[in-house]
Amino acid sequence: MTTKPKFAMYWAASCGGCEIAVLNTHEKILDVDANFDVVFWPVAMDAKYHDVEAMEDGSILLTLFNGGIRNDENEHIAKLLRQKSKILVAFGSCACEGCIPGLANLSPVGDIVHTAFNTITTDNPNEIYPRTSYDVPEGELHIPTLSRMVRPLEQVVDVDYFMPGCPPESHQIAAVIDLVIKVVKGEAELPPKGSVIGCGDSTVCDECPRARNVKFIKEFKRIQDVAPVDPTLCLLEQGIPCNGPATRSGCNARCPQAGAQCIGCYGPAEGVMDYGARLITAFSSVIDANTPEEIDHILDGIPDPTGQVYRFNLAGSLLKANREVWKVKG
Amino acid sequence: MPQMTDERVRAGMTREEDLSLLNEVSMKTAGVSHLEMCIQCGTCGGSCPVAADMDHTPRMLFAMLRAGMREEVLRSNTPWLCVSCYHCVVRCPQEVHIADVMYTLKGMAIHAKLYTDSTAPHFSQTFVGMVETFGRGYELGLATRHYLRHFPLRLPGMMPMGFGHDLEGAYGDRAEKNQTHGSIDEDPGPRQGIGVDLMNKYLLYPGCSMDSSAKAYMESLNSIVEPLDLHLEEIEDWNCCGATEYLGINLIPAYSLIARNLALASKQMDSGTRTVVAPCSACYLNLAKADYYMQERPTLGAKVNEALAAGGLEYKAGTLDVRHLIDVLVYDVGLDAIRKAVTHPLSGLKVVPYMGCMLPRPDYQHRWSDHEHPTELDDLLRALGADVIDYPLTTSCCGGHMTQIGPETAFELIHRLVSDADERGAQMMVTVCPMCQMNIDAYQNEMNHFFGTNFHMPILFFTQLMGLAFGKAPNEVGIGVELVSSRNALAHIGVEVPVTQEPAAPRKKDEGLPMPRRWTKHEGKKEAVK
Amino acid sequence: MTERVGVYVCHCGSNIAGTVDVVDVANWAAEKLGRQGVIIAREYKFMCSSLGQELIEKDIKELGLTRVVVAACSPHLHEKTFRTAAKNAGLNPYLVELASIREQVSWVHSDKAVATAKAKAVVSGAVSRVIENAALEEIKVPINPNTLVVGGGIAGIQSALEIANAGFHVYLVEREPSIGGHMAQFDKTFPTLDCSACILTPRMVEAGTHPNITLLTWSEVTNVAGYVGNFHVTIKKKARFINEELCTGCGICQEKCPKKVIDDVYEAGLGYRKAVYTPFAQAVPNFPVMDKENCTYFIKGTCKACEKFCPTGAIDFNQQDEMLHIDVGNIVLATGYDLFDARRVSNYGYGRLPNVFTSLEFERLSNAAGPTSGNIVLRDGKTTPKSVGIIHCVGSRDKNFNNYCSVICCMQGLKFAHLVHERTGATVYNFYIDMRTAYKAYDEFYQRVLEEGTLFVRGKVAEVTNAARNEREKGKLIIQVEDTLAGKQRRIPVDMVILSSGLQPRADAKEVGKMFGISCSMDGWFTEKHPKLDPVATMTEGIYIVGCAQGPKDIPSSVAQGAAASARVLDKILQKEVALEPIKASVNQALCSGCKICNGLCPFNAITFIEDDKVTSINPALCQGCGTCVAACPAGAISGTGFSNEQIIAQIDGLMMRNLEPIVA
Repeated sequence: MTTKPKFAMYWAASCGGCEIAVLNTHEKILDVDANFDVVFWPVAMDAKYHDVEAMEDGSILLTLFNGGIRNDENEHIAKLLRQKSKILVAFGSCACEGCIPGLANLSPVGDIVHTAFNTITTDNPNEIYPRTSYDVPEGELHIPTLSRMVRPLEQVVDVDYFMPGCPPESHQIAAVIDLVIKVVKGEAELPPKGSVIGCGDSTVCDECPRARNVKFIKEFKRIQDVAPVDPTLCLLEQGIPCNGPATRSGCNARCPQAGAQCIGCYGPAEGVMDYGARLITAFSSVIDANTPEEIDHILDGIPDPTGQVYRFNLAGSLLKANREVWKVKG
Repeated sequence: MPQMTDERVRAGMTREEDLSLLNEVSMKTAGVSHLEMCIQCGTCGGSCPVAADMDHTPRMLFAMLRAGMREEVLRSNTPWLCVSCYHCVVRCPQEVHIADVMYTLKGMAIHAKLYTDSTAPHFSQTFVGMVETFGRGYELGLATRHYLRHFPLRLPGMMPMGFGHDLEGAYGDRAEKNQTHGSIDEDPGPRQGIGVDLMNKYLLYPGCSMDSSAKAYMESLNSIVEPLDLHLEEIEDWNCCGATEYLGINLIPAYSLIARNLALASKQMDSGTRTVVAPCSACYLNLAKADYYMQERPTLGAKVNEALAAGGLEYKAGTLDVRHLIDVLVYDVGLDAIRKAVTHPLSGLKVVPYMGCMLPRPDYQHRWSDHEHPTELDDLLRALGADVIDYPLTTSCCGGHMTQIGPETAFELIHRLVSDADERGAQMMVTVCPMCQMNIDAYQNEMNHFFGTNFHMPILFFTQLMGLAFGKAPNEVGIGVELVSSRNALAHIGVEVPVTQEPAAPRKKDEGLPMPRRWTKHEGKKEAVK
Repeated sequence: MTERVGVYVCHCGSNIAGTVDVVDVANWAAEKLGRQGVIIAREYKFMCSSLGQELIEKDIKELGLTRVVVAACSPHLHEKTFRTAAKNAGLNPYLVELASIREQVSWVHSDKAVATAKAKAVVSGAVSRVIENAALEEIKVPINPNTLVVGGGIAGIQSALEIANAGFHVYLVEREPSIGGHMAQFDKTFPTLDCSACILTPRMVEAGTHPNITLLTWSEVTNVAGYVGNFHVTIKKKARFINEELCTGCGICQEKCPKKVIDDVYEAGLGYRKAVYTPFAQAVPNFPVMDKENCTYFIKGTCKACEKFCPTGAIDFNQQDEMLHIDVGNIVLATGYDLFDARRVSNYGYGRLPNVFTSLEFERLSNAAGPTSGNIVLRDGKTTPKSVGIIHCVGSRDKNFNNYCSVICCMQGLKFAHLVHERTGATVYNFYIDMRTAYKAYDEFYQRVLEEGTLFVRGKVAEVTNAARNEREKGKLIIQVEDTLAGKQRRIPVDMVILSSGLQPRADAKEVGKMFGISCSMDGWFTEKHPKLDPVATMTEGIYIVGCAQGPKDIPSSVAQGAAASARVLDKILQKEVALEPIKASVNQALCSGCKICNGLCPFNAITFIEDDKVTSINPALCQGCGTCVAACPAGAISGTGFSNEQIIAQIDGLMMRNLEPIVA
C-alpha cells in the first residue's frame, strides 16, 4: 500500500504535444513515478471514466489538464476532474488560451461540420452529416456534441494554476514537478492561486540576445524573403513580424535564437490583457510612413493579421470568436 | 432648403405674397440652386451683357422672387433675354446657379402663359418640336418656320445663309442612323504602320450644326485628324443636345435628352476610351453640365435614368469624361505636336481669338485656364504662327439665340465684339463655336445696317486655320463658304515668312512703374505656353 | 473597502432635462448602483452654480464621500470646476469624474426614452470607472520668465513692450530685416488719418533699444520643444552678410550697390531696392541685409562695391547662418497676414490692365517715402488720374475665393477715397456691397468721406475692362457694375482702379502652427481657445496668438490683443510655477523587456532608454499623458495614470451594465 499523492493528466481538444513534452522531461518522469501515484493518464495507461467517478472528491492532488474545451465530453471531464482534484492546472496553450483548436472560433460550428463532410477529398453526394445520438437495440449511442465555441479551461471550471506554452518547455515542466514534490514534502510553499507558473515574468525579448534599436519599418516581409537574415539583429527591426514583444518569457527565446520569428506560443506577457490587440498596436507603432496609402501598403505585408497575432490566443482573447460565431444562438 | 415657406403657406400666415415661390423655383432648377443665399450684391446685374434691355436686372428679379411676386417675375422679359453666357454664375460670390434659374423661370412662364413677348417661347417650342420629330436639329427648317411666324420680312435677307446650309447634305442624311465622316474612323485599326494609340482615341459628339451651318468646322476637323494622329469614333445614333432651348421647357426631358447621348457613348467605352469630345461649345456645355448636375443632385440622376430606362439605356453620372475639341488639342495632343505639324505658319496674319462664353464657363470640371481670359485659343493660334492680338472680349457673349429671338439685342452684342476687334487691328476673328461663328458671320450684314457701320470682319473656325497651317488648301478646310469673306485677310499669309524672335528690349528709364507678373488659374500646374 | 460614491445629475436648465429624465436617472443611480457603492444620488438645476457645488462639498464632508460623479456637460467646460469643489471639501480632485450627458446624450438625441436609457448607461460607466481612480497630485514645474514673441508687427511689438516694461526678458523674432510689419507700409491710418510711420516708429525704436528685449530680425524659428513654462526653441538667424558689431547704419553700401531689384515685400512690387538694402529709412535695426539671390558677388563672384566703400569694414561675405537655442516660458505668435492675390480675380484685370492697383500698392503710392514720393499717379509713373474707382470686397465675402469678411477693407476704401480727393482732386467712386464701419469714430469717418463728395455706388463690381464701346470710354478703364440702388447696370469710365484686397492667413500658417503645436481653422487662421471668451489663448498652454494671425482685424484690435496676451503671460510668470496635470505614463520596469518599440513614439521627447538596465524610462515632467506609448507597448509595461486598463475595462463594463445584468454566454 502506498500513500503517494495522486497524479492525473488528461487531454481534451489538443494535439498530444503536451504529453510528449512531459515525457520529454526524460529522467524526470521517473521522479514523477517515484513520488506520485498516477491514477488517470489516458495516453500512458489504461483507466476508465468510471474509475475517476468512483474516486473521492479532492483526492487527486495534482491534475495537469491540457487541451481546450471543444465538446460536451471535454466539458464533462473538466468538471469531473475539477471535482476530484485538489490542484487543477491548465497545462499548455490549449487549456490556457485555446491555442490552435481555438482558431475554430472563426467559423460557426455548422460551417465546420459542413466543410469537414464536404471537402474536395470527401465524396458525400447524399449530404450525410453525423448525428450526435442514435438509437440502437442496446440503448442510445452518443457522440460528443460540439459547443458553440472552443473555450479555455478557466471559462468552464475554476483553475488553480496556468502553465503556458505550446508545449510548455520540458525544463519548465521539470521545474514545476520539482516544486510540487518539494511542496508535498513540506519544503516549499505553493505560489498564490491563479498564478502563471513554469515561465518568466517578462517577454521573449527579455531572453532574446539579439540587438535592438528604435524601429522604423518600411516593409513587413516573410522571413524566407529576407536574405540574408542578420542573426544578431532584432527580427522585427528587419521587417519580420516577430511576436516576441508581447509573448511571455520562459522558453529562452528558442525560436529567435534559432533564426525564426517568435509565433507567440507562450501566450500573453504579464501585463497584457488582449494579446492580439497589443501586437497590432505594436506593429502599427513602428511603421514609418507619411500617408494613409503608404501605411496600407506596408500593412499589406501582413496579409493574415488574425493568423499572425491570434494564432494561439483567439479563444482566450477579449472577443473570443468572430461575429458570425457569436450570432449563432448558443 | 428653408422649410418655412411650405409650412407658413399652409398655416395661412402668408397673404398676398407667395412665399412658396422661392422654394418652387429652387426645386425645379437643375443642380442645387443656392437661391436663398443671394446677398443682393449685384454682381449678376453688373456682369450681364444684355442687362440694359432687361425689364429687371437678374438681382432685382431674385429680390422679387424672394418677395413672392410671382406674376411680376413670370411676366418679366429678363429670363427670355438671358443668353446663358454664365458670367454671372462664375462671379457670383454666393454660388447661385443664376443661369439655370433663368431656364426654370422660362419653363414656368410658358406653363403659366405669362410671357409678354411670345417670340422666344415660340422659338423654343418650334425647336423642341423639331428635335422630338427628327432627333436632331435642322436649322434651315427651324429658321424658316420661326421666321415665317415672327420675322417674315427678314426672310429674304436670310437667303444666302439658307443656300450656304447645303440643303441636300443637311436634310437628306437625317434618315441615316450612323453618320460617317470621311477619315473619321468607325473601326480604327493600324494606320500607315502606326499602331492605334488608345491615348488618341475619343468618342465624337458632332452636334447638329456640324452638318449644316458649321459644315466648314466639320470639314476642317476631318482635315486635321490625320496629321495629329487623332482617332474620333462617332457616337452611334446620337441626338440633338437640346441647345439652350430645351432647358427652358422642362427639366427632366431636357436632361434626359442630353443624357441619352451620354448613355449611348458609355456603351462604346470598350473601344478603349471614356472621353467624349464635342466641337460645339453649347453641346459641350450641355453634356458636361448634365453629367455634373446628375452627380450633384442624385434625384435628378435617378429621374433621368428612369426616363432613359424606357429606351433600354442608363447612364451612371461620372462615367464619362466630357471635353471640348480645343481642350483635347491643347492638352492631350499638345502644342508641341501641333507646332511640329505646322508646315505653313500663319505669320503675319493678325487674329483675335474668340473663345465664346459657354466654353470657359461655368467650367464645373475645372479644365480651363481662366473664366474670363483663358489662354488656350491664344496659345494654339500662336503655335500656328499667327499674330495673336490680346482681345479682352474673348469670352463675351455673341448673343446666342438672340439673333432669332431678339435681333436688336443680338446686334448690339455682335457690334461690341466686331468693333473692338476692328479697333485693335484684327484682320480676322477665330472661334471655336458654331453659334458664335454663325452669329458674327451671317448676321454681320444686318448688324451693319442696324448701326450704320461698315465692318468687314471675317470669322473662321480655329480648325480651318489649323488646316491651312498644316498645308491644306483653302477649299479642303471649308474656306469660301463664309458670308463675310476671308479672302483679303488670308491674302496676308500667301507668302511664307520665317518667324524671328525679337530680342528683349533694354529697360528704358522713363518706363513707369513695374507691373505684377501675368498669372492664370493653372499657374504652375499646366504649362500650355512653352 | 467599498468606496462611497456620490452621483449628481444636472438639469442644465432644459438643455439636459428637456431630453433626459434627470430625476429618473438620479433615482435609478441611487437604487441600482448601490451595489457599486453609490450612497447618494441627487439632481439639481445647475450643478455648476455655487449652490450646486456646495451640494457636493457638503456631501463630501458630511457623508464621507470617497468618489464623486457629476453627470452634466462635457469635461471641457466644468471638469476643473467640480475638481476644485472637491478639493475645497478635502477630497482629492482626481477622484471626481464627469459623465457627459449633454454633448453625448441630450444634444444628439431627440427620443426621450432612448436618451434617458443612454444617460443611465453613461452614469453607470462613470461610477464603475471612478472607483478605479487613484488619488493623484499635480506636479509643479517652475516657469521660465523669458518670453518669445514671434512677429514684429504692431501686435508683436505691443506684446513685447508690455512684458519688457514689466521687467521680464523678451526675445522678439522677425522674419524680415526690420520690425514694423504691414503697418510700416501704410501711409495714413483710419479713422484718425495719423501718419502710420509717425505712430509706429516710436514703438519700433522703443522695442529696438529696450534693455529687456533681444531683437532677432532676419531670423526664423525652426524648432519648438517642451511645454508651458519650459519651451526650448531653436532660432535660425539668417546671415545678413553684415557684421552688426561694426555697421553704423550709414547706408553707403546701399548707395553704391549697382544691382537694382524690384522690392516685392516692402514696396509691394512697385518700387526698387538694391541687392544690399534696408527695407525703409526708419528700419529697426538699422543694419542692412544682403539679398544673396540677387547679389552680383554671390552670382558671379565680382563687384563687391559695398565692401570697397564700407568705412568700417562691416561687410562679411563669409557670414554663416547662426542657430540659437533659447529657453522661454511662454510664446506669443504675432505673425500677421498676407494680402489676397488680386490676380486671381481675373475680371478685375489686376496684372493685365496697367492701371489697376491693389491696396498695398496704393499705400506705397500715397506714402511720401514711397516710389513716387507720395504722388498718386498711374502706372506710367507720371500721369495724375482724374477719376478713380475704389472696389471693396476683393477676394472677400466670396465663395470663389475667401468666404469671410476681411474687416478692414471698407474703412480702407474710405481712407483711399479721402486721400485721392485730398491729393489729386479726382472724382472718386467707391463700389461696395455693404458699408462696414462699426467701431469708434468709424461711421463718422464715412460721413466725412460722404461730405467730401465721394460718389458711392452700391454694387459689387462685375468687371473692369478696357474694351471701350464709345468715345467716352476710349482709353479708360471701364467699371461695369449694377447700381443696385438705382436698379440698372452702369459702365463708369475711370483712369485708375484701386482694389481693396482682402486679408489672408500667411501662406505657411499651417506649418508654423504645426511647429508650435497649435491648429488652424478651416480658413487658415490660428485657432483661439474660445472665440468669445478667450481669443488670445490657444488649446496649447503657454502659446498665445495675437493680431491678424488670429483673424483679420484693425490696428486698435491688434494692439489690444497684444496687450491681452502680455497680461496672460505676466500672470503665468508671476505665479512662478505652473501645475501640470498628473495624467502621465510610467514604465513598470519589471515588465519592460527593452524591446524599444515605444522609444521613437513620444511627441514630447519624454522617453529615454537606460542602457545599463536595458529598460525604458519616462520623464514625468515632459510627459503630457497623450497615451501613445501606453497603447504601443506590447508587453503592457506602460500604464497611464487616469487611463489604466482597469479604469477603461471598468467603464466599459459599467456602460454595458455588465455588473447589473449578466450577459448570457
